[in-house]
Amino acid sequence: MRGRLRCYVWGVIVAGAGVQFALVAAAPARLSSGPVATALLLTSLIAVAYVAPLTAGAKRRIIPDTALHMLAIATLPLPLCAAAGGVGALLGNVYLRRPWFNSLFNAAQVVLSLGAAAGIYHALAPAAKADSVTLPALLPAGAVLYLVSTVSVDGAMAIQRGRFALREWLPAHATGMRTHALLAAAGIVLTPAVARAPWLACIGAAPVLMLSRMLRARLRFEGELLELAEALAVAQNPGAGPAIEHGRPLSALAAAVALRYGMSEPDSRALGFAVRIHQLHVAAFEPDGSEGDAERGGRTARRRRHPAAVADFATHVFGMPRVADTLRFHHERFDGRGEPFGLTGKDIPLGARIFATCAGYARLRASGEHRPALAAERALLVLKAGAGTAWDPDVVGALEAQVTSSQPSPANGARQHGRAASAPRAAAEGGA
Amino acid sequence: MQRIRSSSDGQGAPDRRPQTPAELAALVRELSRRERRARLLLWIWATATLLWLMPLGPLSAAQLPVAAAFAVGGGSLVAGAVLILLYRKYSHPRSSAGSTRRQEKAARR
Repeated sequence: MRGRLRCYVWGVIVAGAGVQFALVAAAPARLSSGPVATALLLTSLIAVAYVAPLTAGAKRRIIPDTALHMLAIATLPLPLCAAAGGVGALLGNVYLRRPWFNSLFNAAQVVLSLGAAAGIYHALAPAAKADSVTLPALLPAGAVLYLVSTVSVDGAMAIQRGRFALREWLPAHATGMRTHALLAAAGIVLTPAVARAPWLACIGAAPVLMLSRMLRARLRFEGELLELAEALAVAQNPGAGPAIEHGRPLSALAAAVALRYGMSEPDSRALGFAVRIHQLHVAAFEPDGSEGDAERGGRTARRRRHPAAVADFATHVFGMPRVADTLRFHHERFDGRGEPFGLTGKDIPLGARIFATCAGYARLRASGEHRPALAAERALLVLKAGAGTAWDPDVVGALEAQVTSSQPSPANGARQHGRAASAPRAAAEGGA
Repeated sequence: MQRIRSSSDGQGAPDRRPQTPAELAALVRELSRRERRARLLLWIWATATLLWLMPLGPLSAAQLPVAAAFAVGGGSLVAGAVLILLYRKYSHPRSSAGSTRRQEKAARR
């Protein structure tokens, strides 16, 4: 198998190099400086695209090179187009310190796909000017670019897995195809401006790069703000410390379960923040229910107000309206007997279902007033018994998978157990 | 936004940490509001620049004379750099509110 894979990879590399040399050999002896400058610019931008991909979710990073490839196809002569893509991919891969054969393979497959696509474009629109878009020729060129690129990569994966993966090509690439089409459209739209003044591509790259960084920067800010608020709350009231500290493992568990369930990475992190905001609110902003208010009706009313109060706190104080629904519905039950709205099943937002399940697990793992802390296995059994009534069965399944996979050894389990058991019950109950 | 306390402040610096939950909520709200405002400005700049690069009208990059496009594009980059600096300033709540690490450590002890 490894021998076949090696043969395939070397075959693609040699084919890519051969195509590139053939294109250069067939090119006119002298190229004007304009296309060469554009090619150099696009080469560097393609390399930057590899270095700074767009983050679109969990383990989903989009390299926006398709837009630049479409620009290259529409604005550059055939040999320069393939060379710009290949060298850009090689530089980007080398910068990322990928293995040399991987870098060469990626560069070669870009040369092959760009060569084929640019060949189609120039064959269909032989008299196309660089600063105008010949859409009927660019559309099939974009399709060929995607086809050759994905098939060449899938070929390697098929050999690695030992089965004919190309049969699953369409379902496997349905999402990527939409992204590819959007990026290709962006490249086509930007072509007239870039062909006229290539440096405009840099100006286009600046906001795209900035937007790709913005999401990460926002998450970092929210994390820092939360840290600051927690620290100041503890400084004000040291008694709030244990409850706030308890929110951290609960937050990490909820984020991990959300990732495992299929939520995107930013959404999972936002759910983790929601859990910590909840703990902060319970510890520092809600009057202690056990003191000074023994009246049953008062406690019930406060418990009913709690979800809305925490949701407002996240929205208006932390400026995170996207987690408000998670907090507003985290007291709902899967069978509709929860508070405050009595939503049932999947009508409850996913974040709220995950939060409720993880909080239930944390409550079982912590020692209570009248019972000891449960071991992980027993806590999971209780959760499974309540799946479909109190908690979402799918989320319970994801939680079980997460807990099982994060406890490879008994020592690890004992450490986690100890941490949860030392947390006060009130903190865990606040999340239920 | 008044600084709470800087790590470079001496012992005699006034302690402006929030003393009540309401003050803490007001501080967090203010920090969050500043960051969101800076982020909104960056989004507006990025969207406007990308729209200008698209051939949508007579003022787009493809239609303007090269010198004018150069001026507008360069101005956009400069504006973007200024906005990014602004955003960096307000996206670090500790630097906006002042370091409280010493107080945190004392509180945790």
